[in-house]
Amino acid sequence: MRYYKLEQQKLRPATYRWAVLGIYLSVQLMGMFFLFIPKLEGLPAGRVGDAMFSTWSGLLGLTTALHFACFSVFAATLAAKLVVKEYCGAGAEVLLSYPVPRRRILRAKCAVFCTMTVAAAALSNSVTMGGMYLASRLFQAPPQMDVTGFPLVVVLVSLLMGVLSAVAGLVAAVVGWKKRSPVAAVVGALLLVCCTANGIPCAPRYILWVMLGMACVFLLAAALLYRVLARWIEGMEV
Amino acid sequence: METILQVNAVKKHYGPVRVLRQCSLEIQAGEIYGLLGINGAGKTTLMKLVLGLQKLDGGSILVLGREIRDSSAYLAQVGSIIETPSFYEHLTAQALLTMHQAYLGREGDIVGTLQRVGLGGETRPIGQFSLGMKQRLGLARAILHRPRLLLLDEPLNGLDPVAILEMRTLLGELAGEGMAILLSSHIIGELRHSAGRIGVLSGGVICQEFSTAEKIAEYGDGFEDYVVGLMRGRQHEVL
Repeated sequence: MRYYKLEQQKLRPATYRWAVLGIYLSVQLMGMFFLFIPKLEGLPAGRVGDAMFSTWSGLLGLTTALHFACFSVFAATLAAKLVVKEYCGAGAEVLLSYPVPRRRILRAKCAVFCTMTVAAAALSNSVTMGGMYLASRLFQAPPQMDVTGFPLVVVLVSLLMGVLSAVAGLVAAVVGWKKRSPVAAVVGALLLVCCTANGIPCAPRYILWVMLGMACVFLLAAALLYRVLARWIEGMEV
Repeated sequence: METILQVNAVKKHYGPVRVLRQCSLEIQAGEIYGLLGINGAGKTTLMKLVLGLQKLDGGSILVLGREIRDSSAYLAQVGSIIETPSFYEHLTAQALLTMHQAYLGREGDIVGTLQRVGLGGETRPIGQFSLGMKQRLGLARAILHRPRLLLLDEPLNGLDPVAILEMRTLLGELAGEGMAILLSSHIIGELRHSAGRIGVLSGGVICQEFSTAEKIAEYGDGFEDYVVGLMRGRQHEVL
């Protein structure tokens, strides 16, 4: 916990608060747009092709995928700052000359960017869905409710999306460390997003199971990547 | 006199280039040892090896009588400035030193240390510091926990003449308090005024080691020419 707090101090909190607010506002705006697409297009409700925009689970899939893309970059930026820049930049000599096991510091760094990402992503996605619900009630444009216990599904899906984004941050840290470049870190996360984001809204009615499946695969990959990164950092010379 | 740092026949190579071969030196408590060599002679490499930032290819290094390979605990007794120090620019000097001592797990007099390096009462974020102020802050970070061994790699870079004079006085004071200081530079004048003993690193070995005062007395105005001759010495061997 002591190292966690120390690593947190290395970040300017205001920068990341503004970033989260920006992501939330832009996705909220897009969500509102999605909500009113069937009405704007004058489409009859319930058609298979429109399920994405006319059901709550479809809308949840879309906003979750958008949030995943944005928060993966958010996590990658944090990882680039806390891991790549620290270990590959000018500060590495000081960091590595502390009488603290290198793995313990790395663990604290990963914990900081993962918890920040999960918390911010889950909150942003849940609030976005809440905002869309309020708007649908206000403007009498309610989509179909096709999933039971939807509020709980929203919270769980949002948390799982946060986990996926945090793993993207870890992927970014590994790529960035290997390439010795914060830019490569962000590019690594973007590539992961490009390959996986479409999976989130692929089966709207089963979104929770889709997310659970993806989270399991991502977490397995994360465990492996973390071990690799820890070994690299343990043996690194500067 | 207690031996603080002992470097025994240390070897280090980068690929085929042997940077250090059979490099040995000893520093006692309260001594300022000047490490002199041309750019690329291996001065920074030697300091990094002492800090455990690079791995030895041969030989051994003992800090306070203990092999550094055995544990990293000795690092709490070492302070250092390696190359240009870097900081978290949004923090104040005081916040940075608080963070530093938390990592080291040792308490230090933050306010007193900042005053000692001429940064007392400074409340601006580090991002607004000049190069010289950052260099002073680097020194404050290195001496905050009152280490037994201080490694300074080109510590006077970016300092104005007044600050250089103050730094020399401060180093003298620290040595007077029993700190062993390894001071590296490629500027002879810098070491001539600060170091009690100088070792010339050339061709991967300490090719000559002497008392500064004795050699100045012997060579007088020709001291610098004598040292330059030693520094030119041998080039690195290729494996």
